[in-house]
Amino acid sequence: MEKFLLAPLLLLLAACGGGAPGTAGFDLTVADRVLVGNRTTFVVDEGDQITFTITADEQGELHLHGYDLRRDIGPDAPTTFTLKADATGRFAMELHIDAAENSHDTDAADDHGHGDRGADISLGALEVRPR
Amino acid sequence: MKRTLKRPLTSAVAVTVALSALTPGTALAHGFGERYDLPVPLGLYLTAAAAAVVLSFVAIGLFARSGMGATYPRKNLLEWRVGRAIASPWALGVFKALSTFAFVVYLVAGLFGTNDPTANIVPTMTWVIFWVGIAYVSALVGNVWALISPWTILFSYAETAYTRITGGDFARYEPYPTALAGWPALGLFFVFAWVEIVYVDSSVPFNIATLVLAYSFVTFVGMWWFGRDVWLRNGEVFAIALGFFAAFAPTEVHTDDDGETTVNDYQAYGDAAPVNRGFNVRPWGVGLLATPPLDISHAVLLVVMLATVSFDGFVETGTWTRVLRSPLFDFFGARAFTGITTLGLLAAPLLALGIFALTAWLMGLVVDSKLGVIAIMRTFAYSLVPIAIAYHIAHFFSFLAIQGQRVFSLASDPLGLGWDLFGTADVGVDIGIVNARFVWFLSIGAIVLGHIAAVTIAHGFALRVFPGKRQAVLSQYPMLVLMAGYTMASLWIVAQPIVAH
Repeated sequence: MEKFLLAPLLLLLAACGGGAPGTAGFDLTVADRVLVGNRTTFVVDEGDQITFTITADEQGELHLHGYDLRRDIGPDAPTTFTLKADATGRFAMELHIDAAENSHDTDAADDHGHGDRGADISLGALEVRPR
Repeated sequence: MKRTLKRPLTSAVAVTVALSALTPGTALAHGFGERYDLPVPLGLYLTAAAAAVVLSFVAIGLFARSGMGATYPRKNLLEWRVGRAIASPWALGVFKALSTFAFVVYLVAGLFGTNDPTANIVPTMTWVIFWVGIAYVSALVGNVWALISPWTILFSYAETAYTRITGGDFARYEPYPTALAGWPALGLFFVFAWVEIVYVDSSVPFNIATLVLAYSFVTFVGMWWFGRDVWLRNGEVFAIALGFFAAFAPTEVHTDDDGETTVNDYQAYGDAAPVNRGFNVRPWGVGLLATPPLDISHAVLLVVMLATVSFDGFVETGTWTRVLRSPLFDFFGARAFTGITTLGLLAAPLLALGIFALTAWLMGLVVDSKLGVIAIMRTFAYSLVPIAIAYHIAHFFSFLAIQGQRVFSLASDPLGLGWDLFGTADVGVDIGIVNARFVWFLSIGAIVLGHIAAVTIAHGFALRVFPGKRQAVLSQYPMLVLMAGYTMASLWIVAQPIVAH
């Protein structure tokens, strides 16, 4: 009996998704140690080719969790990189700022309030949805 | 458990750094124990919720029969040569020796290895393999912890050696206070849950090993003072907790001594003559119905466990972020995560116990039963186990599949010293091993099936303790509401994006 109830349900659910892999591009800007804008979830479909462009006002390292992708980010020029979204899931992105790399910014002469401390700045999450 | 943990610590002062307080803001996400689950989409979530409610009634109508669970099909594996080989003292001796060896490696790695949580085998063994993996095996295969618990094994070694040398009993067998019952296990569970959910440095290998040593000490003292099996039933919380899950499992140990039978009583099994022993396969779930009512201390422990496991999932939702940012935040200051989450960890089990007691009271009320609230709670506690197992599967499957892969590289380098014992040190973690769509269907499938099993089993209990079929059905309305609520909570959690604090 329950088999008859479940069968159409499963068919219905299995039918969603599909389509060919595409491309997606996201521009992220970090200023004053926060991600600019309200967008914190970047959604793509499985298999998509993604291009990220990161503009930052400080030296640091971008870390895309799960994919474990790391890129150096600097204030001189925007950093661009691409990746193929092979694995589905929700992956946090962070910008790690090392204390040492910004050590010219001493506690005494600090006008931004972060001194020479490092920080982990959340850049939201990449969501790769299954096809 | 906290899956978003501090930066790997690499310096010589790692321990000192690890023991100093880290504020939640800087504890954001690195390496060990992360989860990458996509939230279950709204459509699936609503479909599953509707299916759970509708199928509840189908389950009662079709599956529930009086006398359910009194007997059930079982097949003794010892009738076959393969079964006898697995259960032979030789094979068991090998399992035990391997488990002991693994425990020693684990402690050595924790105490003397690197304190980088991802490079040391201890955090993965504790939070992935033991707490998630062994729980899965207990529920879906059988009570493996009864066989491989290093505390049981080490104590038995000591007992055997002592008896061989002196001829006397190692344990003192002091009478166990009846009123104490299973309450020591509840206390120990609470400590464990706090470490798992609240303690910010619970992924630091040295901390874990130290806590495990402390727990080992408590366990050995309990076993020595009261006797091994008495402590396993009342104080060794992991044996008890995994035993709850294993009551659902499709295997059991069984003794039949002149018509006097026991199920999953490992003391009786150990004492029984080989001819009276059975190592049976049985359908999933029937073991819950075959078990006598739990002692109230165990029933409370069960409900507290379920509430805690759900709370652990709740802590990862955006809703909890908003709680953390409530006015309480100012009161706790830099300790907001620890303070508020500790309060939550206290509140969640109390809330669950309150709801369960209220449900039991309503059940007694609608059928005008002579059974008190406590007796009803003791009888029906086990019927919640399938929902808990389902949630555990739904919530942790991809975590186990992804993070569990770390054991391959860690086995070659358990201390994180750059070894490559088996040539597997460079085996990576494939985050694409399970597709999100598969995990979604598995999750909601498990949750709906778990709900149906729970409703069916509760109905079986009702037919047993309430006079007449009509009363049994009536008594189940409050229980249906409780179970629907619990299932909806599980579904809601798997439909939330996981966030780091």
